[in-house]
Amino acid sequence: MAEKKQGRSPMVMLLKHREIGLALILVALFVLVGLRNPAFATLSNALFILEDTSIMIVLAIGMLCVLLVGSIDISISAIMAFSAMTAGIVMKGSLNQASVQQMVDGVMQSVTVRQGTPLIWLILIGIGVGAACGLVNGVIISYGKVLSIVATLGMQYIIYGLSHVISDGQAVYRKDMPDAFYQFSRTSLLGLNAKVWIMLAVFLLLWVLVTYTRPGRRLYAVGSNPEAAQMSGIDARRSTLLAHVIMGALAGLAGLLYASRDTKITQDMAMGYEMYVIAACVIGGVSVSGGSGKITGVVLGALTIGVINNGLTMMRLTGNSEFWKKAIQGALILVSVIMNVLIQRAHTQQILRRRNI
Amino acid sequence: MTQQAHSTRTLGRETVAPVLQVEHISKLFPGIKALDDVHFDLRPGEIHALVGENGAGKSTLIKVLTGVHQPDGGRILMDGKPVVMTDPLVARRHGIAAIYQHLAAYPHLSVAENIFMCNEQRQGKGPFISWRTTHRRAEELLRSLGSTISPGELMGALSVAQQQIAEIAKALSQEARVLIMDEPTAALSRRESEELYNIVRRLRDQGTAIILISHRLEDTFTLADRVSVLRDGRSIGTWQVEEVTADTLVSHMVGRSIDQYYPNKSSQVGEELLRVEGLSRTGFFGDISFSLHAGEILGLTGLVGAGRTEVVEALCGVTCPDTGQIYLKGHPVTIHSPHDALKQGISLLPEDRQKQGLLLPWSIQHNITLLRLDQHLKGGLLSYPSECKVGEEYVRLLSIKAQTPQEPVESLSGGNQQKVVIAKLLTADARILIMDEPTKGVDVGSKAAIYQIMVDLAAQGYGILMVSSEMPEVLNLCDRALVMRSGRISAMLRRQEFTPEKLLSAALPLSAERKGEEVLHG
Amino acid sequence: MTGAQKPTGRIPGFLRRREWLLAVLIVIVYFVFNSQLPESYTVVNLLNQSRVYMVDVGFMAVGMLMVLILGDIDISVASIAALASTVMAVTYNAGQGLPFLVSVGLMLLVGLVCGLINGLLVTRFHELFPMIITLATQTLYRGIAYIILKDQSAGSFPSWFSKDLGYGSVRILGVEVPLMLICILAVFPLYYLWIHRTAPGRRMFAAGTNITASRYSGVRTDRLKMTAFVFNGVMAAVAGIFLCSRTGSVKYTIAAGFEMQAIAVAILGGASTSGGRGSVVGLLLALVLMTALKNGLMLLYNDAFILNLSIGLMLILIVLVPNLWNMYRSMRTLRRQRLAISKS
Repeated sequence: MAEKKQGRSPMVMLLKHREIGLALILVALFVLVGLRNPAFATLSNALFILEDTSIMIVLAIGMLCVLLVGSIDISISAIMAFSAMTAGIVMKGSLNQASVQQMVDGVMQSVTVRQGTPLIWLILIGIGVGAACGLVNGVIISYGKVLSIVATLGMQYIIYGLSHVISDGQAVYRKDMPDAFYQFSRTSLLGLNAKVWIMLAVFLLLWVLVTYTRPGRRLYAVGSNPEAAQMSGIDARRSTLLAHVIMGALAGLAGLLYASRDTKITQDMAMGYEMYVIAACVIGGVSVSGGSGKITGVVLGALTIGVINNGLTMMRLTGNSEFWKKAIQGALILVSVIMNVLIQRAHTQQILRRRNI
Repeated sequence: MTQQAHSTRTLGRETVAPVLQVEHISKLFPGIKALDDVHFDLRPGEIHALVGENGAGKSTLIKVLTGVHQPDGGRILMDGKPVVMTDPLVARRHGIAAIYQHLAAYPHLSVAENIFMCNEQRQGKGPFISWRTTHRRAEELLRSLGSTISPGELMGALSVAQQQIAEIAKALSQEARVLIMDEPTAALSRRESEELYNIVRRLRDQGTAIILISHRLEDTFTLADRVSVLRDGRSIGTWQVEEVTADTLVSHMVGRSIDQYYPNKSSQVGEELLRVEGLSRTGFFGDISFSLHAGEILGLTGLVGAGRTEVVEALCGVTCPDTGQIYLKGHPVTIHSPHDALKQGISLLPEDRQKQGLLLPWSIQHNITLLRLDQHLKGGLLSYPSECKVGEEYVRLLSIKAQTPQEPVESLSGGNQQKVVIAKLLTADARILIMDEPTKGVDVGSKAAIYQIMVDLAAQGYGILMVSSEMPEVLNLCDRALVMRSGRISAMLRRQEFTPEKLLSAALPLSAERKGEEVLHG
Repeated sequence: MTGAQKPTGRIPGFLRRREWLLAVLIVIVYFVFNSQLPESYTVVNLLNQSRVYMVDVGFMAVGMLMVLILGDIDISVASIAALASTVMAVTYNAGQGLPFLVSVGLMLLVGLVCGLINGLLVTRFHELFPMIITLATQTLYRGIAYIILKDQSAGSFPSWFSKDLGYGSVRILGVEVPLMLICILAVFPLYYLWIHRTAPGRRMFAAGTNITASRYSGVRTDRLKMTAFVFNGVMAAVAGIFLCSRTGSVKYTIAAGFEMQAIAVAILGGASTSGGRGSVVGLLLALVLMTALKNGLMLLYNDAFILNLSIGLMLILIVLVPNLWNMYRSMRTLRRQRLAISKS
């Protein structure tokens, strides 16, 4: 009957700390691609992947907060575009005269300071606009009791529309960007790119928030059992609001990084990005129904997607791998979430067998 | 304060000043008056039972006391001073803790975190939570309750009884002076209940005032010092437990007297309908064999977690057994889904009627007709008049209390909801009826009605398999009873052999040595 | 969660049903734009423009409604349409490949297979949310279209297909009604009967309301889900047919973003992403409303983004306003009760 003593087997440990498993998969992926193309498994390429993925990590950390409370936000790419566009307009100093000026005349005019706008202002504007969008999302969802998919789907349309309205369909290019903004995503410090540093700062901040502070732990509580949360005096609405504001602010920040990296701000920038971010969270072990998920898992999930993306380019599969990339990406996301389920099922079976009935 | 209460308790209850008083409390919900001028008082070191039918206002009163709801009139006094419970955190600061009927646990979080939720152990006065202190204190609390649960375990991985203990630890961590327990034993077996009783008594002797809400009258009589009855949101009265009998209490709750609680079962046991041989499912149950006859009520009892629900779910195709064979009227059958089971003539009244039994926002008639929509087709399309007819028929037949069959089931009381589930099953024409805890969370009046329905059905030739944790139910209704213990059938008793002791000894776990022996021989 | 949606107070009688609310909105939208643009914004013009706004998204929304009623979601529909169109265009190969109707048959088959894959994944892996699964297949299907078509475009369909079906119309009561519109309108009565009047339709609503209870009541929920996802896949392919005939060529990016439009229309028409609700009549009215609104905005502003903005606003408001109204009603009832108590 009891063929094995399964007390603290590596398998059990692995499942308890899924992040370790994910890290192992990541390393395996790295080695596998590296065998095919030695240029892949180098430190510099690893750093490149980290740099390339840092925007997604920032977003995925925000999405973690939202998913924890049992909500979801599919308007993040719109928020990214909108906040980048707002900052871009400040850079350019040209608001869409025709349609908006009447509406927000004085307010916008006063912040429109042309080329010389200090970077910090741009960043604050981006984050502020993002947080404001998140706030609207949060209010509609928590106080208006609208399902989060519906609310953020609607907001996605609205925010994309708004970024068109304020820009009048004009993109912002390198020539309109202050050098400081251009350098924003290109500076290095101690061998690491600014994006990575920003990502690390966000990670640290949010890690402390969700593991060591009460508002952070309440995100988990609200998602885990909303009724219980209500009975013990936790305001679920406020937690939901907080999660969406965090998501919005991070999307704003990510939008700026994205814009600076691509040296172009268009009204439909980053369209469809939200799906990769959600996929990163799911691969990282976050439950879409709320209440469970770790910030380290999310980072590893985003890195997995980053390694897949980069690896696919480096694998040089057929003539032009660019065409294959999308399909393989989809297939790999599918495989990794299904693997998760199968491992979980095997684990449950094992526990059942140990009951000896 | 608490010590004083302890010493005076023995002197004479009347002299002790109440720790908590509720005066003229009213609570409104849109269109309903949930509490109407309710009075209640609680003395330190007493267990005060609060009883009443479903919808009598017990849970609402608790929520008012714990600050979840704000009363619309009246006041609450603690130690004679009026207090306002603006939210649950304020109530907690006043020393009121509650353990709710539906466990208010966070399944994804650790036991330690559950215990200290909203009462986080911080590092000094800073904003950060100290996990080390949290775990240490949680461990201390759990050990003081004689439990071996590890504080790092996820709450969702614990059994219901263990979760209940963790909830008590949570209440203890708040150093509560008033502890409210809403249906603490509803999900527990008798033995687990006993353990809980001991803990509750110990807390009382330490001076904690306890409000106990329970549908089981035996809880009230074994534990409580005083008992208060609520009916339709009003206070009916408060008595010393010694002053009242079960019958008078029930008549106060229902508002009339119930002559016969358990109906006489007179039906003859007929041919064999169902036989099960060697049914097993890894991790849940093993080697289950029994048979069920027409006109018979067969009890399936044992502790919660013994595998009773899992067995009936396998019979009904909700889950698949690994090995074993099911015979219907002597013919072997395989059942892959509830759909198959119904086709073969087996219907299940599930344990959790709200989640598994009913479509709450749907009307009574649509719930009833869901099982046999094919009976209401006219030219391939559903016929509304035909559904109405069947709806009305069953509402009358089972005397479901509703204005019309079009009323949504979520507006019905628990007992009437259960009758709707039974009505739905009756449309299936399945002769084998499996009822998993048919009277769980059902008020006294409806309980008697459900027993009567069961006996009537047996008389019509139905074979009924009833899963039950309530000993009196099994003793009074069943022709035979199967007892399960850790996934296996430990005894099969006939009506003549029924005694509470026999049922109990078959249900209780074997001692460790004997279990080892059994494994060796098996 | 959905408790707040139960009307406790009385919403002005006829507006309580989503269908009536939509009908009223349609009339308002029509008269507002008609007064602004009396020349160009007419019924004739609306019918003419319905090709663009009503047909392809309409077919996707028809499939989506069933999935939403079951409480699931499918965001791969636009990719299915793209993949199916790609297969059709490539196999037909501008007349050099298979006969055109065979290619179209293949297209429907692709839709069916894609839907089948979605359905299988959803029913075999209950632990995964359909949203996540179809998120992955969305990338996968469009990725396959990308592999097949690279960054080229394909087209040159037979003229009856791109001319007659795409831009042809039939004269009914003196009004030119586009052929396409007739095709989609023909679907609705049958669909209505299927969803609202047959036993499987009822069971779909049951499964969306409470899947466990439905399963316990003998509803074969997995089979229903398979049906819904396969139907959805086929409808996506059908949408692809009309899209191809209208645009005349296929790129791998065809129909990008249509899944959100389809979901938005279905929700506007009374469906909910939490399942158990939805109405075929509501869906039709929502489509008409979208057409009326989009057309008017397009004429006024000639700007796709303004259009999106107003659709987004409408989507949120149509769910939000009744919620707020109900909250207000129950607060008012409470206040009245309190008043009655304090008087007595």
